[in-house]
Amino acid sequence: MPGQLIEGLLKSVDYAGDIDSRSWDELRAAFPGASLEKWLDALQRIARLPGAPLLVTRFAKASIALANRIGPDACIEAAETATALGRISGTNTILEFLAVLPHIAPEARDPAAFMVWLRTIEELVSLAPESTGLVIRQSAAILARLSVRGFRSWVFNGVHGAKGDAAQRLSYFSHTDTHSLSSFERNEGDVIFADVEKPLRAFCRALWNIQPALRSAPVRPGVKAFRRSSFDGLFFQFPEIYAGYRGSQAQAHFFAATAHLAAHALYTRRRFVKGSLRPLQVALVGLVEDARVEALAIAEYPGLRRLWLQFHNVQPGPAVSSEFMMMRLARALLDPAYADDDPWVKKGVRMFFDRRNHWSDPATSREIGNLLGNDLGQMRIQFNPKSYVVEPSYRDDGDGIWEVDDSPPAQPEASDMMLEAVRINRSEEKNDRSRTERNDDAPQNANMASRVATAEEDSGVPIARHPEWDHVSGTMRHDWTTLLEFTPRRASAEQIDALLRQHEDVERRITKLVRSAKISRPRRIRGQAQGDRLDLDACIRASIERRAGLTPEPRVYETSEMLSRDLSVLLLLDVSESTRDRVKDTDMTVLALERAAASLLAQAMHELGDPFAIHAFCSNGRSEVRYYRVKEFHEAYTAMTRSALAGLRGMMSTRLGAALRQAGDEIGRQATHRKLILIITDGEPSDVDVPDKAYLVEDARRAVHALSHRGIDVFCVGLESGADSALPRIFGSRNFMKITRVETLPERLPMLYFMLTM
Amino acid sequence: MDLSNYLISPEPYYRPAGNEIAHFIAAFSARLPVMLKGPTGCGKTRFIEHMAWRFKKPLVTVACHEDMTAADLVGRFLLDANGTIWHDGPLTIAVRHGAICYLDEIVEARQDTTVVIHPLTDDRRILPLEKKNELVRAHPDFRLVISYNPGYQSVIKDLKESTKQRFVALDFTYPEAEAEAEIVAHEAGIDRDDAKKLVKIAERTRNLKGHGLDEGVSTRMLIHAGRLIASSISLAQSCQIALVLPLTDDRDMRKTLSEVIAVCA
Ligand SMILES: Nc1ncnc2c1ncn2[C@@H]1O[C@H](COP(=O)(O)OP(=O)(O)OP(=O)(O)O)[C@@H](O)[C@H]1O
Ligand SMILES: [Mg+2]
Repeated sequence: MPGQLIEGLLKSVDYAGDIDSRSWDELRAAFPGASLEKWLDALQRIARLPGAPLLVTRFAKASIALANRIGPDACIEAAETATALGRISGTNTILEFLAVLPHIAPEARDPAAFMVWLRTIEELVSLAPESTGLVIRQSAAILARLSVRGFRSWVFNGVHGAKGDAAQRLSYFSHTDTHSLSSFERNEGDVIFADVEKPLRAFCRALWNIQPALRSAPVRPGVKAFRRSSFDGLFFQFPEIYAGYRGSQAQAHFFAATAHLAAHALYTRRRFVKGSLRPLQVALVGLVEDARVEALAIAEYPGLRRLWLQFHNVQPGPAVSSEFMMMRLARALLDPAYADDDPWVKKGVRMFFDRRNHWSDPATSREIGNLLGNDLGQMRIQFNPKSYVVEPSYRDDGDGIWEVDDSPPAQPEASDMMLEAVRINRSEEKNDRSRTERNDDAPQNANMASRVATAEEDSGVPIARHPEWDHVSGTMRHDWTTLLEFTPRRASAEQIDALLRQHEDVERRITKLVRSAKISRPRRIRGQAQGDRLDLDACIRASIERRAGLTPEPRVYETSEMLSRDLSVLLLLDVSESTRDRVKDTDMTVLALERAAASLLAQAMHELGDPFAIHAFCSNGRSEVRYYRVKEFHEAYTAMTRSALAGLRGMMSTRLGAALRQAGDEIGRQATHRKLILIITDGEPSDVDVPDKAYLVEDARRAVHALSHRGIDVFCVGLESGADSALPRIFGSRNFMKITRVETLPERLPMLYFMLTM
Repeated sequence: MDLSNYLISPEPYYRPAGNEIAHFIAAFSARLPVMLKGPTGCGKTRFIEHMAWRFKKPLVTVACHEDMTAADLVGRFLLDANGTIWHDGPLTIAVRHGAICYLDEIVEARQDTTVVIHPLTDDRRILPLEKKNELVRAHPDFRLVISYNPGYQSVIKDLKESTKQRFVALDFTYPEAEAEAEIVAHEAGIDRDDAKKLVKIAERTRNLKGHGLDEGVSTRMLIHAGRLIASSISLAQSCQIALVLPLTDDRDMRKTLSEVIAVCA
């Protein structure tokens, strides 16, 4: 790039003059070729943040260190994160962030690890803005001890463990003790739950067609880590890591544990009542029950025996403890090749197999366990119920098969944790139940983060006035509506993520479609003067012409041209009150599905490189049409986008025409050839100050017409079941799609997008 | 024109999965165009070959693709020493001389190509050759059969409603476990026990359709695995190279499939 051009670029960036000339030389060296231009773009973004002059020089300084250590791209990404921080936290946090960058660089070791750190910070600021600075300051020290993945699990363990309580998060992040840190570290060959979560889920679905909720137990400072899995119906919880196993064996261990839990889910079905059973009997009923459900599962899948047996490696020996005897019995019940001469073990085996025809009845386990427990008790060898842990380690803690009410479980936290898991899942539902309490300001699922982020209630900034069409008099009412812009709240994107997990396959399809949209959409261009192939029809025409004595047309080739996409999209979400309705037969609201759909779509558009924005609207009379910018065209698509989506709440009414006009003005400024407004709404326009049903319909129709005159396409997705909808009248039936099964929205929206834009 | 090259013999092995043979015969007798719907490798092609053999009718197969033009189907002018000469495309051949024309994977073709079959599929049974200025009336033995895999690509590539509605459709799915094992054993030359294990594995993978896999393991894949077993490769390895590796590149999914195979065997 010629030097002049650089000079020109420099001038265009605010405060660039504050960077001294020595730094500029270093910067030029650190950002060779086109990367300098990219960096200048990044600098420009920094320059727009409050506190800019200082930030610009600091960023330049950090960039030099960072680029030399990790590469130019890392700086661009870091600028992205800084902007994200700027939106929620203050200048100080950004300064802190910039100051630690040079120290993070050597600890992160490689670009990928550095990116993970950035992403973690970005997510953290939307989830726990109050703790972000604290974490940033400690990052270098912690990365010196932990890998970046360890760092990440340390951060999220703190966020999730605090259940939305900012004070608790602060205390977690400020009381970092080195001892608890080590539990987040991974050694070569360690397999943690997250590594195998997806395969485990698919495993359950393939073999038993069940979809359990899989979780790992959070590590809490000061609390003993879980060593066994546990379950509650279809809630399966695993230790974060099984100590002592590595590599493929550790993976097999997770599979063995999952298969065991699945066997319980399938064959235990009802919880046992402890009644008057003594602790040793309780343990033995559990052991026999484990053997029973495994035997039933093996009848269907013989290979399971091999999977489980590899973890039974006890050998016969003198009867020193009950635990030892029980391990032997467990193996004997599973392993036909295992020989054990102990009379108690032999008796257990005999009783178990004598009743093979009754295996389908859980009462069998109770009966056998009761007797064996009695026998073992009379042998007077020691048993300590407090320290007893089920063996082998792939089996669950044994609590899941018992009714809970009669005695406190051995590990009280386990059931706590389960409840918590259920709660997370149901929070949307609760949110729903409370919908009558309109004034209840914070939605139950939004955590502290959203409250902290928008401490004082936002009253909106007027951004425009729009006309409105009065169909009765046939006139335009000028400046009739007032658009107020509100800052979207931020909230934990956990729920969106959970929904997206249910749509993993859609994500994959999208990636595929994106790939094919990007590379394999050639268009054949015929009749060219040059090209890769002969155009057969043109050749024949040319020969005919030649024979007829005419001058043949020389353009007889054909080529393929890649279709280029020149399109921007504005996704407009209706977030009126009615989007809080629960979707039939599910526990999700319309809005929850809109959010998930929007984030899937956003991902597709992001991967395709189409410029896009996400806006949302609702209204409270003509003087308060609320407009939210979840994501702007020029903003990057990051974790922040999702947390802003998550913060959207359903309220008020639907003044469609006004929102459409505003959206038209927004997208009208885009320079692309094609402009598309994609609107998702769950019903007809309505507003508190308009009794005439037809009025807003006609106005919206008018607005759509005006947009199409300006060359802006509008497409509407209607989420409704009613037959006589006004939406086709507004948008025209070709530009309208009705989705009656709203729960399919997340997969249908991106597909629709591909259909509309290819 | 002699279409004997297009006649099928000997009898292609086909194991019915339901009433599809009776339904096809009825549609055939009524001269209705037929659409065979179903996932890849479930026996659609084999079925039409078998039916062509039953009726002793020639079968002209066209594999459709995105770049296919109407001329590729109906024909075009070519040059020879004396001038131009018309050359019938495969569809026209079948229409003129009375064959079954089988358009495989019709959705792959662009919609403007597919519309050429419209006049053939209603009462008119004619094929206008615009370039040649000829109207070909279909031979009484002409039949049109298309295959259609309603996969996810149907969002972008889908049949026009006006095309769809011209056909009667036979729905193909993978055969019942027993029948599928019989097919695999027959086609691959392995014993029933191994065939049953393979089918069990395939059924489990089909639970993952739409949840990590676009399609489960097809009958065709099982036959491939079976043939490897027949040439004395272990079941686990055969499954690995004939099922797992071709089906997915995703590491996690491969892991899952391998575990599923290990557990089923
Ligand atoms: N019902 C069946 N009877 C006999 N063989 C079958 C049957 N179903 C499947 N097969 C076997 O499966 C193989 C694959 O079937 P076929 O080629 O007909 O699939 P297809 O449905 O046409 O797939 P595609 O859509 O990919 O073309 C056949 O070669 C045949 O060996
Ligand atoms: Mg085929």
